[in-house]
Amino acid sequence: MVDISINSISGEQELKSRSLGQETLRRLLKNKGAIIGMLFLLILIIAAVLSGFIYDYDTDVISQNIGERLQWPSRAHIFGTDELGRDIFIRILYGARYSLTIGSGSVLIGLIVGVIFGSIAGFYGGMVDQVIMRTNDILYAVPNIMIAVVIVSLLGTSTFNLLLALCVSASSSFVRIARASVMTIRGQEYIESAYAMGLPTWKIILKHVIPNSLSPIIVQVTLLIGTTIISASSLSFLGIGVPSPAPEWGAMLSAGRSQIRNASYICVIPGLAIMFTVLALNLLGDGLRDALDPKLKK
Amino acid sequence: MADEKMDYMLEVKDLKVQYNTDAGIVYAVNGLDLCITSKKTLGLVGETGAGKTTTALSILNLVPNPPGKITSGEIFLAGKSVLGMNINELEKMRGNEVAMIFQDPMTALNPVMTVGDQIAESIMLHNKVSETESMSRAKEMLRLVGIDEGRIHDYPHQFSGGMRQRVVIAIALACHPKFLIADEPTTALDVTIQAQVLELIKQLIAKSDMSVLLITHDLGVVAEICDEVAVMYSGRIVEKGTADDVFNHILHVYTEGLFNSLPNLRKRGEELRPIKGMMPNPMEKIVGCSFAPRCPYATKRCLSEIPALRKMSDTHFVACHAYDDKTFTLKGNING
Repeated sequence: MVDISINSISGEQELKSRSLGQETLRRLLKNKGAIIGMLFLLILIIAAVLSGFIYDYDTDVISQNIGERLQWPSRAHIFGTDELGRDIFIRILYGARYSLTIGSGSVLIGLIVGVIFGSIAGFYGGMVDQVIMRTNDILYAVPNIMIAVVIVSLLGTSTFNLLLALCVSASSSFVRIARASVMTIRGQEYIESAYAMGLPTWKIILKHVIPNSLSPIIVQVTLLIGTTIISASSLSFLGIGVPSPAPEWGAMLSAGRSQIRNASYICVIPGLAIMFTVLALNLLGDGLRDALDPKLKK
Repeated sequence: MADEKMDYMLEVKDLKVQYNTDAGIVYAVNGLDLCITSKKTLGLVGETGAGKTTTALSILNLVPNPPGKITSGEIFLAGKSVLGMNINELEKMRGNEVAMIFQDPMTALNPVMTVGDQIAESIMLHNKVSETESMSRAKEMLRLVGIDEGRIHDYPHQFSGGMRQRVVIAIALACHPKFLIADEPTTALDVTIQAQVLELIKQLIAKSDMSVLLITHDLGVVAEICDEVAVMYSGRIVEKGTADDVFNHILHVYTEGLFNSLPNLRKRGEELRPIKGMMPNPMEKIVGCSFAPRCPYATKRCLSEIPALRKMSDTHFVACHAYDDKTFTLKGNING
């Protein structure tokens, strides 16, 4: 065989092989905000999981203890107690389970549904695209809370119905993002090349199109979990979210309204919990967006 | 007739392709005839917009539809009609019997897959082999195109342009195709890398039994590699013959113009001599010879009747009415 190797090749060899995922993680870890966000979420998730083992739902979380009602934060109750004497710290920890499951659960369902429809619309274009996008526009035009209120009042109040209601609006934003991103990838030469290689269309979408359109979708996931947690809390605040006495943050905030003059911490603490969780998710989302942005690659 | 077909790897007859866009119909290929004898390399030359890439995509039946549409013609690959195949037969053929090298190596590779996976993907698709087997064959392919096999787990962004084009070539050749379409394989590379890649392609062609359709606008590349040359203008072949025919015994005015447009390194400072006028708007249906508006020899007949390819020698063909006059020769005054 003819030797065609060229010397310059060995020079590049020292470059360590690094996948795009590893590269993104490396860049993400350089972003202080993203690290803070990740740490906060990690602690919150661990706390939410552990709270189920440490505290008993019936005795610690929802049982009333009138003797200790309306106590300001102290050593015995670091976040104080509410008007029924329940420890707010325990309820906040336990409430993280609701917020996190509803937030990530509805975004996950919305993600799957949205990416499937968005990819189909973006890849095939034409009539299919028109039908999917116009239907989506109709959903998008109605305020999220409105849709959720309608669905929950039709199906009844329960955690699962709330999750279902919120995933409708989540999916409509994923449809848009997935479509836009697939449309740019579809025109790339490597897609044409994959066709020339003889790959069937479904394999091309699965192996070449979707992996390449993931970056904006990943960013949207983190940002949307935050928004969804707020929506879930808003609905609970309005009384159509997670039914009481479950310690959902929005419901806790709502319950504290009557005492806001003499026991403001009952409102403030769940509010802060919502705020910090959403802030952490946004910090992480911003960090991810920067890490995945090809223009910032070095 | 049947015997005659056996000799041809590729036979294109009266191919017409158009794109139906919102702004109107674009006539990309207008009655193209082309054949490539097996184990030969044909260079398809023409300027940007002549319909070269559309021709290449038609051979794989990959013209994007909509908006593209093959309105007439037949394409035979090793005797089998490409346009008559169903999707399963097409997918079996693509990448296995016919492979394509794309123009821009910067965008022709999937950025989120390792080069090894991309080479192995095609091998696994067309051969019933295990993943380990296909990876070892991918390594072999990398070595063949002059890349260290240790880089098999690297991603495209870790390679330079020339190296990526080598990877693209490795993917194309992974299943040992009988026919290779190279669509401007060196256009996007800089000159020194061009020479290396060209040398590689030349050696790979020499070693294998492939027939090759090399699409380019670079006459130097054609001279370097091709056995035969076809010159394309506005969706039609205007001259074809062996490399010697076309390079040393130019018959068509357009071919002459193409050669004279090349800047001459020995005469620096001299003005460049482009062909006067522009290529016809592909959105207008051309009635006569598409080159007539720019041709100094054009007659009334050229504006109304499409010239057919006429045989000037055993191997040399030209599409021009002027050769009705047996004494006609080019006067070399096409460039301004």
